Amino acid sequence: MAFFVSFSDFEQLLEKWAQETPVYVPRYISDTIHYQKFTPGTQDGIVYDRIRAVEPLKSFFFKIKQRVAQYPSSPSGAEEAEPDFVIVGAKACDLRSIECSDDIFMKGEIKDPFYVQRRNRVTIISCDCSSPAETCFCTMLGLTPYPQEGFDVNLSKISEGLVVEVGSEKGKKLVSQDRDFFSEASSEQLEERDKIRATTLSKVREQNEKFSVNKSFQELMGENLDSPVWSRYAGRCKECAACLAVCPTCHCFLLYDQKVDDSFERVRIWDFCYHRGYARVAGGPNARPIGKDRFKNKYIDKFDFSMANFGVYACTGCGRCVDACLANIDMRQVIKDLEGS
Amino acid sequence: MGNPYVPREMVIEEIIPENPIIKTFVLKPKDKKPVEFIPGQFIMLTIPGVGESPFAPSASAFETEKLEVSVQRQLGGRNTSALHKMKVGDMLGLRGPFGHGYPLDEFKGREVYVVGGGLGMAPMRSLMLALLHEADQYKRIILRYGARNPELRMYKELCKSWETDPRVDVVYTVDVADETWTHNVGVVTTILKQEDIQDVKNAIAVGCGPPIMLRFMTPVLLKMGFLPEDIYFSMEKNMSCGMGMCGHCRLGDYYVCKDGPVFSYDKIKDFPDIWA
Repeated sequence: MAFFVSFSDFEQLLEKWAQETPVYVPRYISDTIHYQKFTPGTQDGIVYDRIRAVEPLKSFFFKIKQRVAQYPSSPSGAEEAEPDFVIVGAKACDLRSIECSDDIFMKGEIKDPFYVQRRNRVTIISCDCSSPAETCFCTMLGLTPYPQEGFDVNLSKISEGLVVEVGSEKGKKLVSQDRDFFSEASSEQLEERDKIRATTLSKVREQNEKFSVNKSFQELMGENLDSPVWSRYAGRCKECAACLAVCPTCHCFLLYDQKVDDSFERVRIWDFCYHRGYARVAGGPNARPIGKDRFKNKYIDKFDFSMANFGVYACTGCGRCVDACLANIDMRQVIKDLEGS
Repeated sequence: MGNPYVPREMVIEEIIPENPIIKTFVLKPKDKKPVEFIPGQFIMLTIPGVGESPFAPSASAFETEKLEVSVQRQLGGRNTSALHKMKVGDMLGLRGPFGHGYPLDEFKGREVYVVGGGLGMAPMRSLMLALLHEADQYKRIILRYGARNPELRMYKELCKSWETDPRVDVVYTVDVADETWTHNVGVVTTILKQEDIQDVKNAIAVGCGPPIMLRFMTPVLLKMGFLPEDIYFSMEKNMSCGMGMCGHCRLGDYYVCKDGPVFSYDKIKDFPDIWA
């Protein structure tokens, strides 16, 4: 069953939730959208249905920098207990990306206790996207601009309020504890939602028609390992790794140790495969000593490795990498060029 | 849930110089609990406050009260240089073992052809000790070991004892000999001979050494009649987290840290640049 909540009631709910637990909301800061911790009484600038935030959602669970161990005599398990928290306004592409990082950090034989703790603490209230950018291509990855899975609660903005869909036990609880705020969504409201969804979907599909390829991305990788396309783009790539830093599925990290007073600590920071020393081993040999191989590595990792291991591409079509690229390299065009090479 | 980033405290009990650039560290766990591993698995060794690096245990897997790790000092290597400066009684950290070792049960009843080169002899020592621990379980145990020169050989006493051990067939070589050297001269592939193996259909080969050695011995082994699935290699990539998360050690469709470091050749042969 779908529910409906008015804008003003939802604002009240936000105020209420924020009294109990940290709530993160997407908000315009100049002309881009960023997650911000919600402070009661500051509803201005919050936008639920706009394009995904600049920051990838993974940064809530897999922090840019985190102390992961103190030794000797480190407490076991994740260190300080984290509070429950709520994320509002995640998009369908964000939800898919969390599926990817779950595969890495909590589905293997060994689990990352820091990631697991944050994941267990979160309630995700996603929202349909109704303002895709030209760089968006979620539909090429089998997604729709509106979430179909992976949320606790999903919101769809319509003219008079929000259509609410429950996607998990957690979401069910969230709605039932404030049941008075929600009414059953009418068929007209659902119709309006579906119309907005259809419009957005066709927009994303249409703008990506020129990039469509006839083979799967995985096949294109396997068949084009020696393609001249890689060198051509690698020549433009500045190896700044901005695309990797904003990528919602990139999960690489570096561990380093340092002395702190009388003990030692181990710190984990995000790392990027475009860095020259990334694959270097003791004694100097480097599996990817030249830029072309490093440039290619991202694509192989996302479209071959991930599919082979987890049955899903480690790309959500969120377009962040396209927006971030100093050299205007568009992942869609690279893939299109591979098909023609 | 435990924290897999925290190293276990290990005390250096003994330091054995193997040659001018390699020392073997004998480590005892402070918690006195057994240190278990399967030959071929790797560990992450923490030098407190300096960092951690992957190494292969070189000890017998049947002696669980201690762990032995042979470390070559790398030119300009921060971790290995710091390790070489450490003394008996100093504390190190251990994470792991990680990944998959040699499937010894599948080796049983067969001729096991062990080929070690350079520092690759470290895990081969642990493998040899495991094979010899139950020598009657294997049809034959054959070792071929190559080093750059006699001085850079590891485990000299142990290797000498194997020369007269009826349970094992050994041949040693060095790339460059000196006046003391009485064995073969030439790279390790020059001592791999068809007649080393009685029945190649019931034999497996194990190789550990520098990538260039593995690369050149592969066609030799295939020509001898070994099937790709009967050839096992220890692959080296930049393993760091050991858990299949940090990304650094990807090899084709695998992470070496969790899917390897031991792979049968058929699993990796179709990936590009496996020796890079």
